[in-house]
Amino acid sequence: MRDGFLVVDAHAHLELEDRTGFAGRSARKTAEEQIRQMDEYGTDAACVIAHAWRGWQLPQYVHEHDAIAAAIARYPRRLFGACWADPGLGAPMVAEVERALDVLGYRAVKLHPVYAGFVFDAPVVDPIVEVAASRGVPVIAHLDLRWPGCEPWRMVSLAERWPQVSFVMAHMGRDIRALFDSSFVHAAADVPNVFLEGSSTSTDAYGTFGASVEILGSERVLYASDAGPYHHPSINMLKLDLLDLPRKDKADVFGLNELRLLGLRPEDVEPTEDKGRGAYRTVFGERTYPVPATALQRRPAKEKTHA
Amino acid sequence: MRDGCLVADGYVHIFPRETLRGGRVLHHPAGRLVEQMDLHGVDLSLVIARPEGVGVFDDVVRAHDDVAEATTAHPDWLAGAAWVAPRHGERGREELARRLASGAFEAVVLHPEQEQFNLDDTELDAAIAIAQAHGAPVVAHTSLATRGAEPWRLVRLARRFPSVSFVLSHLGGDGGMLQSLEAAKIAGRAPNILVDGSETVTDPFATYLGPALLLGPERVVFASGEPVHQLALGLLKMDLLEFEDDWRRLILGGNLLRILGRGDAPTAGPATLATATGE
Repeated sequence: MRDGFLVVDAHAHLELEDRTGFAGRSARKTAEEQIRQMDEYGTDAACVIAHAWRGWQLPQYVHEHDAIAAAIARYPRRLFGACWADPGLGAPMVAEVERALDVLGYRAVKLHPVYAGFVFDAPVVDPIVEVAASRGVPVIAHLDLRWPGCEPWRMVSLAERWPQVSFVMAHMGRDIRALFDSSFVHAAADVPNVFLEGSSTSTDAYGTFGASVEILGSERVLYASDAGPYHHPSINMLKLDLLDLPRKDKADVFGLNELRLLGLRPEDVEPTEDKGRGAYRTVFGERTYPVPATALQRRPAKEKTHA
Repeated sequence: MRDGCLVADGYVHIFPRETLRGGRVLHHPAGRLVEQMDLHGVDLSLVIARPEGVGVFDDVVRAHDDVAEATTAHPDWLAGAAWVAPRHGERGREELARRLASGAFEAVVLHPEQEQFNLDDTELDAAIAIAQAHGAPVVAHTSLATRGAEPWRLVRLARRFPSVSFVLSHLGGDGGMLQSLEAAKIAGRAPNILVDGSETVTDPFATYLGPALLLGPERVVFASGEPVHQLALGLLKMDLLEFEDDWRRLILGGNLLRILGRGDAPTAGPATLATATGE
């Protein structure tokens, strides 16, 4: 918990095998490492999204779903799962999504049109969305302005076609300029079943959480980190700490919205120790960053040495 | 100072009055910036002049007046970067030369997105020659999404002026480009290009440590993008990373002070295993 708020990360990853990701960095992260980091930073629960890679075929999805389900099952009140689907793999993929939701206990479906190479609002997606609709689970998607077929506004058209399904736009559309001017937030504004999550966004606290809450209301905006091997959960937490949003709005964004989407209640989650506002573990130990509540507490004047 | 290191922020904006867009603080005055710096232990900020209008020369002069007033009022806290763009022609270059000669400005900024030029246009050469004559570094706003502002264009410009230090700001302004270290790799093609980590996504390694391992710690500059991008978030990124002390000193402030001519040229030892690890 942080500052009295339950924190539920709407976008996290585990990587259980030795794969190389961005720039030669190891992508490996176990459930135990994830839990340790969640404990350190006050994340009470996380939606762990199974992760496929380019060109995967059905057996690889089956293996990934089994492995992630087994890993998160060790932490049933901390980790909840989203399975991953490639609509281009047809009926066998639909059946695998049904298995993941019905047998393995996943609570959401992730689509990644950049990796899987499909047009996000094309009819090929409908059978997967139909499964999500029938189970009442949300559909999360990584969209990207620079990939034809994956542009964020396509989520709006798909969501209008499936008004009974909740859609989560990962990374708020993943464009730094669009985050600044809230372009994709405005695109989603009139479609109430589109939610935006703020993982993997720039250091623009207001663009990430302030403007989106003003435009959409607090119930359609989600805290998320993309915590896996690369992104650090504390940065988006500090963004929320820096903003003076009403406490009800912060409670929604920090965790309650994601719980609602996953069909969970606060009591389904095992809370962590409350870390307070602005306090983070760093390589220098625990450090408190000035947030609006303490911003008037000036430090003693310092001696200038470089002039 | 923070943890024994001088901190110099390589990319901030000011404006004479606080400007809000919706609930966002789009600009804040110099006094407010200095308060933020003091609160966070930042010793010096490079204030990027930014005219309000697009292509309006009078706005360039007004922005320079504002920054000059701020750097004159807070000389120990603020350094200025003067704006120049090919569309303003000879009078733009005269304005640049005048500002650099005044002592109120110590750097030059190129903003191809706002001023609609290509970073590798030879039309820029006369302005860069002025920077060179004054020993001023050139800070370039880069953005993968904007034609003309792509990071690779800066390589061609930097190669034409090997004695000038260039800063590739925002590491390409794109999350994927940052995380794949592609912007840093592009900067590696010209030894006189440094990178700054302002306005970037939530991956601390790819913002600072990865580029430092690739380019050397002498070529990475801490920067925030205040006030749209918060200083605290940039500092938290640095605080999450394991660095050797000399690397941290260079990145947090030493490198910017060096290219501004405000300090000695610090050096760093080679990467160690401890330095090369990190999340």
